[in-house]
Order: sequence, then structure tokens, then C-alpha cells
Amino acid sequence: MSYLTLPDGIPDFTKAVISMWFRVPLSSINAAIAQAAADGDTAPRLSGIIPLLTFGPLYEGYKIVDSYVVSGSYTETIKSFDGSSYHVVSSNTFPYSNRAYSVGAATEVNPSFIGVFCHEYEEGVVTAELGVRIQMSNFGSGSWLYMEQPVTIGNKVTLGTVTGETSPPQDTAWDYALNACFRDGVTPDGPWNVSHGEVDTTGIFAPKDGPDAFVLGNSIAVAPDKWHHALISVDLSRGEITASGQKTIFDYPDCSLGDSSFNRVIVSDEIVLAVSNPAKMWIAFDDVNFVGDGGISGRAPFTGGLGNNDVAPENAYQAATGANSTDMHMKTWANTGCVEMWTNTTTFGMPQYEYDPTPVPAYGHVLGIPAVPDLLDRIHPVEMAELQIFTGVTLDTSDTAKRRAFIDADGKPVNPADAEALLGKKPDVLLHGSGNWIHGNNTGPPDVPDPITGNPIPDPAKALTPTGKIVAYTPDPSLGGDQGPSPSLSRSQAATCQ
Amino acid sequence: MPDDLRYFENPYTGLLKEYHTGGLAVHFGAAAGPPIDTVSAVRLTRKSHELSNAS
Repeated sequence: MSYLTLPDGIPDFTKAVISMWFRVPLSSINAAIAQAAADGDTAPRLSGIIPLLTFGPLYEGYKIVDSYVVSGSYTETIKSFDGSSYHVVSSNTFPYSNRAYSVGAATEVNPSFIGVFCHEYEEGVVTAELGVRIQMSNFGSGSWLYMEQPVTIGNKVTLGTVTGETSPPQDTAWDYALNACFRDGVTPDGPWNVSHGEVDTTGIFAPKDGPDAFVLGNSIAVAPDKWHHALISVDLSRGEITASGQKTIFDYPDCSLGDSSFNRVIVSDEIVLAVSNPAKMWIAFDDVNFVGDGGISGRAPFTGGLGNNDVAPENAYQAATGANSTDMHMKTWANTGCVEMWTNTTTFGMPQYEYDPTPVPAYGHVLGIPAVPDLLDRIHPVEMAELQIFTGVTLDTSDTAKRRAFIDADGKPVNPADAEALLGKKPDVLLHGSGNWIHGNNTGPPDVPDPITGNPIPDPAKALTPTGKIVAYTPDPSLGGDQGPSPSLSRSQAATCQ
Repeated sequence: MPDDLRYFENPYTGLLKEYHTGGLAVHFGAAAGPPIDTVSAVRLTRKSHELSNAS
């Protein structure tokens, strides 16, 4: 496969604007789907994704191995009562376990990329969707985002047969089998205590997918064999992002004989369920500003604090939608003759996550078009044109006048100088014209004098390195003009792509 | 500078910038072919041959 590389990448950034034209053949979509199927559970980078642009480090995460570890045992005894004393009928000991987590095998984490997710959710129905990922270098921190409630089980003593004229002691509890508050005999050494503690497992779960990332979390359909224009901007300069969820403590007051119901009451309820100070991402696809149900994140309005262009790391979304709750205690009949006292500690916290974006790691790492050499086997045939990458600036793609600096009203590329003028700076990468693409001439940065002629030439130090066969393609990009050849419609007829 | 570029004056900055008059797009593909530097070498060889013929 052919590709272009920029060995030192682009500068680290907190703001960026990227404009590109691309065209994805249906055959490439099918190939990516087949490749993902072959990947199975190995989940290599860019599985099922046709890359268009990748940059930044290739981080690793890890799998979490969970195992059940025996943490104690309890004895279950059945006693009879003859009117004066108790006799053991049977006694058995049962071990019980709790889950333990440990770091397992390394996993691959996607780099920053713009690409196309390819799926075949059902036979013959192909979908392709725009994918955008900005992979950061640092981790956020959180607490009670993930938690475990290990159980402790006490000995269980059940009253079996009762003879004689003297009654054993009695207890009162809710009986779900009878759906009533019930009073019956028990042994003096009851009730059966079952309790839960809490363990904050955020420290192992939150970082498992590598450093935090910002992604397009919604669906933007990419039709095969057609030119598309993607205009993407991010603003990660807004400072720390915080997210909090909900913590609720319930209780079941002990029932009294004659009660018709056994209702849970709320003891306390702390509710935030929101992301504060999210980062921003704007996308216009095919000259239409994306305003989707759920917004860029795919989470709004189901997550507090998120508007259409707000984004946050996945862990922040988890915190903002996470609800930790427990029942303080509940007294019920485990079975006739044994009351179960279910108690939980309530000292856990509400889900929280904080992430302070550092600049996106890009400089010193190879930028690849469509992908870096390390991901060579993930490159599929694509057509591309008119790539512009600006760092240090943002663009609100809802502003039609600003989009006109990249795409005209007829759906065709405009002079790249328009974008430079609009944004007030030169692009870090400009690949304009098939000749420059083929030779890797990056005409974005300022020209330098030709050492021989003195004429201005593109800075060789900022040039991209072409590898493999990159060939000119016609027709030129446009939304409404000639789109070039379409392959067999045998599968695309069923495609859900637009 | 590729042949399909010409200069124009940026109306915003007054600077001369290259403006593309030819094709804009490329294909990254699986089609078998020599790497681009080999293509250049082939072209150079052809030119050398033409020069050789001319002489």
C-alpha cells in the first residue's frame, strides 16, 4: 500500500482545524469489514477502520483479568426445637467468593486518526461512518467511577421442626413469598447477617484503555464511491474537565405486622450527573454542520452539561452518567425459620472524574496519510485531495461563511489561500494538487529559498515522504459533480449509507 | 515546482501563492507498482536515453 509520512509530525496542539476531501471505494469498505472479522478478539489498532490520516504515539492499554477468590466461608445449620432445647439436624459449610481484578495482557490503543468506521451489522448491510479520534498523552483521575461491593456472609441458622408446647423466640420481617410482613419462629442465634463493603476499582478500570482521548461519538454516514469533505476543528484549551454522577442511599425500614407493602425509602441523594467545562469539537461533513441527536459526543442531551459541540473523555461520560447506590439494610425472611439481615456500608463516594487536557502529542511522531508505516496493513485504497491542517486555531463549522473558505456553495474545493486568510496563519500541512500529493510537497509552511536558484520553494524539511505508488485521480473532488466509477452494486444496494 | 501550478496574488495578504490549475486528487492504492522514487529513476533514465539519442 502507498502512503505519505511526515517524519516529525505536526506541532503539539490544543486547537486545530483539519479540512480534507476523501473518497472511499466500496471495495475498501468491504475489505475493512473482512479484516475486522479476521481480527476477531485480537482488537489490533484500526480494526474495521479505513484510515485517512493518523498521527501521534501508539499507546498501549491492558486487559483486566477478573477472578473469583474465596474470601471466607459460612456454616448453614438447621436446628429443631423440642420445647426446651435446640438440636442440630444438619450443618454444612459453604465457601463464598468475591471478585478480584488484576492487570492482564497489553492491548493496542488507536492513535489520533480521521478515518471511516466500517460495519456489517447484518449480512449484506454495509455501513460506513466518519471516525475522528484525538488521542491524548495524559490520564485523568477519578474515584468511585468503578466500584466493587465484596460480600461478607455470616453463619446461617434455620429453625426447622418445632415440637412441644413452648414456642421458640419469634422475629418479624418481610416475606416476599407471602408478600406480607410475617412473624415466625427463629433460633436464638439468628438472624443471618449478609453485608457488603465497598472497594473503589477506578484505579484499575479507568486507565485500561490508555491515556484519555476525545472522539466523535456519533454517527455520520459516509457513502461509498463518492467524494466527501470533512471539516473538523477541536478546542482542548479550555482547562480541566470535571464530571460527577449520582450517589443515592436507600433503606428498607423494618416492617410491622399488617403492613401491605415493603417500600424502599431514599435516605440521601446527591445528584450532579453532568460534565463541567467540556472541550469542543466541530464537524461539518459535506458542507453540512453536524447537529446530530446526541451531538458530537453522542451523549447529549442524555448527559448533563453537554451541548452539540461538547466532548469529554469516555471516563468523564461514565462518571456523568454513573449512579452509585445501595440499600442500607433490609430485613427479610431468607426462608421460614431464618431472617436475613442484609446490610451495606455506605461510605463509597459518587462517581467522579477529572481530566486536564495537555497539548495533543503530535510533534516527534510520524504523521501518516492514510496511515503511518506501523499500521501499513490497515491501509486500504482511498482517494484523497486538498488536505489542510492548521494548529493553534479553531473554527465554528456552523458558520456558513467560514465554511466557504474551504468549500464553495457548489460543493467544490476553494483556493486554499482562503482558509489561510480566514484563520490568519499558514497551515502546518497543505497538500494541494495531485502533483504535490504525489511528491509529498507540503506547501503549507513558509517557502524557503532554493539553494541553487534562490527562488522560493516549499521547505524540504517540512516535506512528506511518499512510499509506494500514489497516482493522480480524476474526477476532482466535488459533492455534486462526477463522482468517478462505482463498483458493483451487489452489496451497496443494501447499504444504509446515504 | 510541478507544471500544473501557477502563481496568484492572495487578496488578503498580497503574497504570491501557488494556485493549482490541474488535477487535485490522488489515489492511495494497492495496485502493484514501483515506489515513487523508482518512478523518478525510470523517468531520469528515459530522459538520459533521450539525451543520449540527441547527442
